[in-house]
Amino acid sequence: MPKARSRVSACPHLPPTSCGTIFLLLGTLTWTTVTLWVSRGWTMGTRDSTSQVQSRDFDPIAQHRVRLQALDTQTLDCGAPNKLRCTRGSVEASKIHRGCLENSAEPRAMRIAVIGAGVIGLSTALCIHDRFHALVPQLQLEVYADRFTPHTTSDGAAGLWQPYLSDHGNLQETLWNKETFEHLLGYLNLPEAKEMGLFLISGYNLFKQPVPDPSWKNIVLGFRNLTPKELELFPGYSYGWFNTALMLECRSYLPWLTNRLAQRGVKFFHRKVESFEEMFSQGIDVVINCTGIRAGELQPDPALQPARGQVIKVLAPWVKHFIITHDMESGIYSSPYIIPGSELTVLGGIYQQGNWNEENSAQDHKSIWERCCRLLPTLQKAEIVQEWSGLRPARPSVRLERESIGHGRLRTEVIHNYGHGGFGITIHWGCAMATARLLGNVLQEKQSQSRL
Amino acid sequence: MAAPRVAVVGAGLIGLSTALRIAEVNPSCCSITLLSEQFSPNTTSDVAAGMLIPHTYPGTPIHVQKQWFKETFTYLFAISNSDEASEAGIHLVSGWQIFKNPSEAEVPFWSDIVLGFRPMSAAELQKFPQHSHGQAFTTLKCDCPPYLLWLEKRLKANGVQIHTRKVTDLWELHREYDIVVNCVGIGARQLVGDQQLFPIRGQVLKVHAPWVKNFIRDGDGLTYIYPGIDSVTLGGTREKESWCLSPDPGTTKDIFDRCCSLEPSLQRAQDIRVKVGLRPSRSCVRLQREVLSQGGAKLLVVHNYGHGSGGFSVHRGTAEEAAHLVGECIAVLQGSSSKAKL
Repeated sequence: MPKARSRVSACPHLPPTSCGTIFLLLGTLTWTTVTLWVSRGWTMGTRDSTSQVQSRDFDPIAQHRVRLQALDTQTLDCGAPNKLRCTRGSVEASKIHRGCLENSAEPRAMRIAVIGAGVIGLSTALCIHDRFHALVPQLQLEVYADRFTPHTTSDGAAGLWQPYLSDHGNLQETLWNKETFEHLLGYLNLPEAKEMGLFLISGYNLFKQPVPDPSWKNIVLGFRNLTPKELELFPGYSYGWFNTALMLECRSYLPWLTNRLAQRGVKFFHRKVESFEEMFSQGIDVVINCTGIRAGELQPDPALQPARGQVIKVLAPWVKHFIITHDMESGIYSSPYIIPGSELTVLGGIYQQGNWNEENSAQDHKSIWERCCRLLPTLQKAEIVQEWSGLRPARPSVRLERESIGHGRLRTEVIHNYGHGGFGITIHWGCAMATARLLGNVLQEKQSQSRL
Repeated sequence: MAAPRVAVVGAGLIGLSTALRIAEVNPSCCSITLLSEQFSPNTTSDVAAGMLIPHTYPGTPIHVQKQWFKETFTYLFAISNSDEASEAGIHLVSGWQIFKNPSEAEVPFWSDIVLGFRPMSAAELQKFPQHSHGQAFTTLKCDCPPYLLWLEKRLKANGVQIHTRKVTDLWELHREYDIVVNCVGIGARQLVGDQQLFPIRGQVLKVHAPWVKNFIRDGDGLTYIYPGIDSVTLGGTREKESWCLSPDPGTTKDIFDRCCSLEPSLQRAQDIRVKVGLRPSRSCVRLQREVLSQGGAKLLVVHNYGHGSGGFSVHRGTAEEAAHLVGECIAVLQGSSSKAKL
């Protein structure tokens, strides 16, 4: 049995150049296969986002091992304990070694860190895991946050699926809203909808003058204008809509997402991430930035501003409809709204741009209470249970894009997914899928980089 | 003559609402006493979900039923819009009535009285794969006991006396009262021997499932999910001529399964309580006057019973008509007393 005398050639019975070519060819074959998998996984994802990516029998690494064995792989052993760090021999040899071993030895982990554990962070993590865990077996998903449920911004929201009145021509966001609604509808007829905090709810949007139909009129169910008799219920409002939409209560949804992630071996880290560099220096390959209102602490973004909200949560189980009023002059969510949850009814109507104060304000309390009781007199008998303030991460549009940080060999990727304002729950799954698609591109590129 | 003495027998929905209407219409010209063996929460009305979805009486002209429903709906609509709504247990609820058989999905006579009545869209029907058609609308629900307790409170505020008493024969009241209003529901079979009245037994479940915000009713009337203030009513059964008031466990399971097939999340419902009620069914509501006499003594009777499964939907309308009949009785009494003076 010929021994490996030379560290230049991994295959002593072949000249180094031919050996290198063989490995290059084999490497290319593997890379091509994985690329096809990743892109087909993406297509499968958009066609049917609710199903998990199917795991396949085809395993390129095992197949490659078989081919190497056919070339008498005993001669590949350079004796170095950690093949990847083998620095013996020429540069050429170490390149060959690395190229060979990345396909034959245990693959190095691909560490993806999601920063943020609100609805955006957790759903993005789950979507990524769904899409890639079978395709990329070395995927290691980690979630970092300093606040977890029930202390996130998402937890304070009532949870009603409803976009803003106008999409301002942002068709991308309208599509993401639609994808989210349809994804959630798929769970509605399963018993676990209850664990998710998901249920159907009907209700009213009220205006003081006629308005154009919203971009989401065909996404929700049974959208129609209000009849004169219905408007009698709401003196002061002369026009309105009725439709059936969904509620997704994050007090239940976030724990549900967390359980699903934990079951799949995703690791959680309770700590504040101070910088992207901190992540990369710990060996994270890709960062998914779902930090919501505090994204500016990781990277300044003047477009991201708080839109402070305050809500009163009351016990009013006789209220079965949401009622959202609109004042076209003062803007979204600055007019009273009443949203019944599974246990408490949320009263709100505060939208203060630029206000970072997370403390409850007595003045806002009074304003919400008086305006909501005027809207629905029966609320006067409701018992007040809780008060909460939060900062909507408002931005002219959602920041959903890749960014390369650093350069050369230290070039690493951040994918941003923040700035969902007061419609995070409404849009979350569409954004999660779009983020996963961007990650797919990143993973493809990393695979091709590793061949160089 | 002294103010006529009126006794209303029965403290379910019909008795209470009729007594209230009599008090409102005849404020000072008679004294009113309510007599009943049972009170809320032990009446038939307490078992019902209290949904304003009319039952069609074959023996009553449609325009009359429509008038009764309209008066009831208008009355409750005003309460639901006031600050008394939560105490009275009256609230709006939206939902769907679904059909497997397209021929059943006709537009009902009450479609323009409920709010926003329209056919369901294809997208809405996707939630119910076994059903091909449906109707969406918003209506009112009267939760009991709250509504009955609220009516009792209104009665006391109107000076109506309320006594617990079992009446075995209407005539036994002839000495103490001049006019008796018979609102005993299914009890009329025994009390006045009305053979046209028969029970339709209904078993229901009341469960804790506060995430269910919409009603769902199968057009066949057998399976329904009605979300109330503190519980969701799941139904049900329609067993003719069954007098059995004990819950049947096999029926409980059957109701639960049927409702879960329409709303799977109900599998997570908690705190399941089973109730049985006997709908006082008749081809038409008996709304008429009668004079009972023995020897020289007379007792004027106004009957208001036999509302079957439609009591809540028409109660205010039939109370209005009964109060009108009581007014006629009072006129008769005053007429005969003035004749006596001549």
